[in-house]
Amino acid sequence: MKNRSAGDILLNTYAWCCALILTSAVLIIAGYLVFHGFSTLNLDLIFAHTPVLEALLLKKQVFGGLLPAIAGTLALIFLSISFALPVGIAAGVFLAEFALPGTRKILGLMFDIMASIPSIVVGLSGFAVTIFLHQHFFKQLYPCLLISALCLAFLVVPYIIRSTQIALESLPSQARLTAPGLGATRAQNLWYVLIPMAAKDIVGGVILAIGRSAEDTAVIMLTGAVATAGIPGSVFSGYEALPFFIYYTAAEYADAAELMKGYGAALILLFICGGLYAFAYWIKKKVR
Amino acid sequence: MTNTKTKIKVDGLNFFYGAHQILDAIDLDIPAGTITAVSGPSGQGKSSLLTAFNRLWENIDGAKATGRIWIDFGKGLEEITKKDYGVHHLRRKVGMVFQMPNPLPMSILKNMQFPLKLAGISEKNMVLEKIESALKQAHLWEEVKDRLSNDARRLSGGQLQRLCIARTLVLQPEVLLMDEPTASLDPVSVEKIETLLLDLKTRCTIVMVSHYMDQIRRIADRNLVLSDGKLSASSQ
Amino acid sequence: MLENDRIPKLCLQIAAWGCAALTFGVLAFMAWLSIPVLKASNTVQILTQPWLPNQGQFGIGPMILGSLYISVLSLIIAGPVSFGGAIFIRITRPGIAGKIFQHLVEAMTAVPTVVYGFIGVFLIVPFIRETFLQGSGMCILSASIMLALVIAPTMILIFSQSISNVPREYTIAAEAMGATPAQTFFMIILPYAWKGILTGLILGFGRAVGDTLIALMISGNAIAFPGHILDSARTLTAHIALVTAADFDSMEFKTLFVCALTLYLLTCLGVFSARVIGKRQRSS
Repeated sequence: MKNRSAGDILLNTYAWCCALILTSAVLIIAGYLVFHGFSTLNLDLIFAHTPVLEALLLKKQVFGGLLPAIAGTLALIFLSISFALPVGIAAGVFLAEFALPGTRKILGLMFDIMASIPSIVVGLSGFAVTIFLHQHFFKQLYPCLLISALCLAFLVVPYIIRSTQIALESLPSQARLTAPGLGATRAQNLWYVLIPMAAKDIVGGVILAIGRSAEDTAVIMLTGAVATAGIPGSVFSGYEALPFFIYYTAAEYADAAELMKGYGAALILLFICGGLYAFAYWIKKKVR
Repeated sequence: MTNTKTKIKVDGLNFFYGAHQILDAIDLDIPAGTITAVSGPSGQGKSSLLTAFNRLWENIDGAKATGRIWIDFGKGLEEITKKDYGVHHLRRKVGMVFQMPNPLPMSILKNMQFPLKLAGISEKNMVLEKIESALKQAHLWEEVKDRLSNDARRLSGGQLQRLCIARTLVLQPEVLLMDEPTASLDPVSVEKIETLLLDLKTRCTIVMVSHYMDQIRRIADRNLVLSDGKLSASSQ
Repeated sequence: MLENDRIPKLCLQIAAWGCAALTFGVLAFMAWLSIPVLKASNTVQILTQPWLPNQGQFGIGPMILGSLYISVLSLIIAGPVSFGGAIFIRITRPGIAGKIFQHLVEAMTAVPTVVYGFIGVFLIVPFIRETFLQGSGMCILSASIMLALVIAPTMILIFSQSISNVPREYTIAAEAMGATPAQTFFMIILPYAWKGILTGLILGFGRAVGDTLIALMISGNAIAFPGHILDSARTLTAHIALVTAADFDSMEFKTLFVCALTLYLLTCLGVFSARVIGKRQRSS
């Protein structure tokens, strides 16, 4: 008598094949990237020939290094999260705590759509708004860091809304009753008790948002990212960004050295996003 | 006492959940055609003991059983704990009824057909015959014969449990494992099921976990008390 | 300010409805900007004509086909592999290998799409070019392969979740009746989980259609109607990225809004379908 029927063997073989195909694909890609990019990982990649300290203190411009792109990406992350975080948490709180069932349905649908809009559409809208404002109101307004950050904020707000909503909805019901029992209003309950309790779960959504802001290329292509701009001086100027640099290199590299920088940039971006993911994973583990 | 054959023999059964041992060197002989009750304090491994007889523990995360078990299916005692023993074949000859009725999300008819499908029995007349017979044995036929295509989950608690019993009977098992079969039921349903079990005794050997001492007194031939991982027979 | 609920609640409402309004605003804005184009020639023409701006033809037909071909092909590649991967995690469950694979899949969701695109250009494109000895390697096939890698991890996680959502009572009942793992899978798990799996496929497709970088970097961006998987093609998304350099007031540029509108509507279609399927699951 056999304990493995033909069906079992077929199913398991199929599953193993698929797992192996995917794993080898990932390993080939990771290996290829590390193999080609690892040798470029040194300070020169980032700072080129400019002395490190002077570059960081913005005394000297960096030409041919990745510092401006890294700075641009960091600025994007910082700005877009600054816009998205309060709005996202507020909307999430509203959905979880105050919305009536009918409202919740409509808003839920809208936010689902918001989360699914292709990023290029968001970028095009941002670009169109910019041109519209430029033509009619602000002649000095061009695609810039601020516009990109606002568009990225639009892109990532749904992540924060979703995780805030889920975080609040999964709080134990007893936690909700303590402060009101002592006379707190709903707002006080939320501000002093519930949101801090839910904070750890919300962080997951925030990290997802940060990761998205760091890696999205389609939005920034149309709203201000350029190939050469130095470290961004103001939010109304053009800027460089890592993902755009990578795309640009693939499309227009002139020689092997530039290509190598592309590999290096890809590795750095991968480390940033991987690091964020690992951080989110670590936080989730601490919560359990 | 009449000379009844041993239906189930257990030698040195240990049961673990992870690192925690809950059954300790259990030895047991269960005669054919009897109802053996297993009772004792909660959480001491009574349900786990049942899963040893159909090797269902192998499908439960973290569970592990060692030791040897033999069951007589008409050709003498077969060691069911052998590695190459057909575990799926075993489970068709050893039926299990769970504490909470677990109908499949299908019609009554499909629920009853399911074990037959698994065993490869598909000839229409034979299938219907076996289903009718099993439902009659479970004293459920009259109540459901006109609504076999209704969703099974709409039945009442007592009917559900009888359906689950009927579902195990459709393949005519020789051993029936029952985990507190009347725990969630009203007194009328309890009585119906106890009658059913006394009836089945002639065709099946029944091992039943139960908390209810009066139930055990009413229908069991023997009561084994499981405490601290060890079995002791109480007077019966 | 927190002493009564009115002001905070108002702020929250503004935030929530503001986001919803912006979402709708994008649709309205794209639709409004598309009007000149849709007036100039009728909608069917725009959607099916070729893109030959020098000859005054601004049809986005090739791009619609390009998007569809690449997305469908990537789904054909990623779907079965993701399904097998989910089965590997939940059914086959080979101890530590299963856990490692699951963590690998979860980590893959963190990889930036542009990195996939970059590697696609320098690894997959030459490979396809040398294997088929035809074209430049920048074609539908290459883009679909990389896109499949992008959408597979999410699909595996959704499929895996659908499988584990099947109530344990059903599967243990089947197992106690002597069902083999394959029988349990096909007779109990699949009938219960197929809607979640379909939702995963729809979401994967939506993700594929909405992606810009992979297609932009790898599919070749030719403007002709694609006929063969080794042909170069252009997607709606890549088209938007490429033509933005044109003069804003030209007809060329304005058709980009039709592209964006099409993409937006496709997105909505995907979201609605997923919801409808989800509703049916819950009510059954």
